[in-house]
Amino acid sequence: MTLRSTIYSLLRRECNRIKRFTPYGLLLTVLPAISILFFATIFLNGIPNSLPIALLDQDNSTLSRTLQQMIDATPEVQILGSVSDLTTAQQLLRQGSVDAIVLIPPSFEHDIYTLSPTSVETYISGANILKNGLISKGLLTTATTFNAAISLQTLQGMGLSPQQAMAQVVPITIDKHTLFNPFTNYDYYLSPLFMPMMIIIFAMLATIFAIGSELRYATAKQWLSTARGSLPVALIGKLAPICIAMCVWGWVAFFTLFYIMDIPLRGSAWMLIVGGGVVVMAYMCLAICIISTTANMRLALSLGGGYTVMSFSLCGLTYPTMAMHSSIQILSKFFPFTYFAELVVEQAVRGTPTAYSLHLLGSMTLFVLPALCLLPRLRQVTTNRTFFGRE
Amino acid sequence: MHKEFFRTILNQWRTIFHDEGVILIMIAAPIIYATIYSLTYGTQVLRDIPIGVIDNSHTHLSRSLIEKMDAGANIYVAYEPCDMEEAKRLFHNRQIYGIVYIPSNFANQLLNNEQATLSLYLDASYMLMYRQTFQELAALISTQNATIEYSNLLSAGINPPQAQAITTPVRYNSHTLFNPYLGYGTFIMPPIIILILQQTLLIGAGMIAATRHKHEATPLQPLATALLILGKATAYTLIYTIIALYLINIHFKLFHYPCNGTALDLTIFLGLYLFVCSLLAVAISALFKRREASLMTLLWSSIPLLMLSGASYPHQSIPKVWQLISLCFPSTHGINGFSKIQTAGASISEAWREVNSLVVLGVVFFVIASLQSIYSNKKASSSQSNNKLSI
Repeated sequence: MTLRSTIYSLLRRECNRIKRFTPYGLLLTVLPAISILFFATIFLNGIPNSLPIALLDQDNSTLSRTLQQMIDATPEVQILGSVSDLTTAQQLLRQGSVDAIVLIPPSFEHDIYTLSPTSVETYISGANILKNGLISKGLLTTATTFNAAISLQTLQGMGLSPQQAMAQVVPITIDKHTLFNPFTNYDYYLSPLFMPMMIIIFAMLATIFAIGSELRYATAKQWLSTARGSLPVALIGKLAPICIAMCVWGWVAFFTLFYIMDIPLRGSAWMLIVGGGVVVMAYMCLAICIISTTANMRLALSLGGGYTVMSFSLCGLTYPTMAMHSSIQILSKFFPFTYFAELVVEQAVRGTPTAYSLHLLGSMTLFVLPALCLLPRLRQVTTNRTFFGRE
Repeated sequence: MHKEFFRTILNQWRTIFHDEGVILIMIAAPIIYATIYSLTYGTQVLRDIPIGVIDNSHTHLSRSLIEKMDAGANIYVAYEPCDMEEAKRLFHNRQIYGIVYIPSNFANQLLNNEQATLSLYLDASYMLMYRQTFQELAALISTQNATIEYSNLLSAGINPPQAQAITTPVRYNSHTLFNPYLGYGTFIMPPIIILILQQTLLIGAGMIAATRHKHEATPLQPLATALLILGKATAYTLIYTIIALYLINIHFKLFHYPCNGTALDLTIFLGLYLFVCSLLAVAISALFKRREASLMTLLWSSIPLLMLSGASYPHQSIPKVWQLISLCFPSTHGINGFSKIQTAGASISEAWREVNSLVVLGVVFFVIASLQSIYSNKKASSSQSNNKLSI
């Protein structure tokens, strides 16, 4: 038998196992498809808008109604009927029917015209900081515009030209450039990492199961004999289907993101494709480490699954790593996904010159090494009967 | 009959506490996860983001502006690159996350009462960094504007209170409720904890069911079937109530998460939520023929379920189809109801929508579990008679 026919028979054996063990098959086929579909459609509506707020107008004047109209025209929020007292408004807030309360005090208009101090109070729920950010931004912008309009009128009334009045009210203007994600769109920002995140969960679990089930169901000897006793050949034959399936799903994910969803791809597609392959292999190699050391499939699945799921929180995309406690910052370095997240941000979103991102590929590659060191241990557990049949 | 019910509970407990795999998933995992995630988000707020300022004005005015930027809580001026090329290099090296450009005519224009422009280049590839940086700079510039206008009015001979009223006709006072510092942990941890309870319960119960599959004599009478289902669900609920009590009374206090719900409301709501999760666990547990199957097929769903619940991306903004699907999972209602009661301090009657939905789901899951049990009994008895025939 040549090496080629050995690998061929290993592949055939593994494909039969994929068919026989339903969860194993699901991890390589249906579940990645659902995940990609899910993250391709969940943010379809773009930036959240028209978040419900309650408005309590205690003045009921022309000016207060003008402000009310301006607030209602703010894209981020939508006034959900006006309420007559603060108690009702608070109840709506607790029930989650509204996310904020705007309060216009009595004699609002009178105070403005007589140049007496007055104020608008807003109470915004901080329970969801994403919604809070949108509402705060919308209301602040509207309040600023309202103020500027009144200020301008007063100054023009004092004899200033419109330009002079404008320079008086807004001496410094902001020329804002929102880089890379001008619409601060959720799709652009989260989807390119959610999809790969799901793929590495599947890669990790499938790899642990592929090797672990040989121990659990005491078929490791048969596996090695199919490989004619060579552990590296046995591993290649076993892991190739998983690796190929995951890389193909990775390409499907990239295609969905950058062609179907039209998320701009500013950097190098090749860096992403290579990086995707490396991160899949890194997690597969970590899976080999976990199953070799525990020699217990159920425990290995729990540990490996738990470890992989944490990758997303630690990668720093949503809550930046620099804000985390220093011990957690160090911990995050032990997750290949952290480097992959930086790679995606640089190569998909920012369009960083390739040279700046090469070290990330290097860091991810390092996660392959521990698996190589643990091959002797894997040989031991796959040939020694005491490791078989553990629940 | 009561005896049967209590025997089921005791049996389930015996199984759980004799199975280290199940203990790891059902008891250790919720606590370990809650702790690691809490540590990750423990710092709560992102501060001290490094930015770069290109100062082409080199005047007293621009210097003082840079000093004010440096003094802000969210940002500090890490570098003062001499041109855009250098700034870009610093940016690609991740040494700065935003660039402020002060043009050479900045001070001149201000002194001549003309509008001056500041250019901001902000990195939106990390949403939180973008938001913190922009808020800080926008607030700073708006204060600066008000100060300039105010002093100009004073020098034009207008008295201070009037100058104040012209500059800021309406004071805008924004109050953040429930999460005063807009902490990331306070925002995301309560939903994560509620979700972890459901996920570990489903996986753990699936593991138990697969272990007991072969040697469980299932009753045939409808009442006995109902008692068996309720007994199992009660057994899981009681264990999880203890875990939830620990998380809410100790973990939440330790990490300073909002604790605004009354003990009674929380106990009722969480008890209901956990019972419905347990019924779901019983209903689906027959799907798992092998111990590892539940973890392999359910672990991945945690991230999609969190997104479906509306805990981060608002529920109203997700596509209708996904909104409907999200209603089928206890986690969606559990997260929203818990956030109302524990974060916003709502009473259980103010969270009636979630309570209603959970009750409906509970009934549906109970019916599914009963039908499934009757079906598998029939199958088992027919295969038994087949066996007899074949013997």
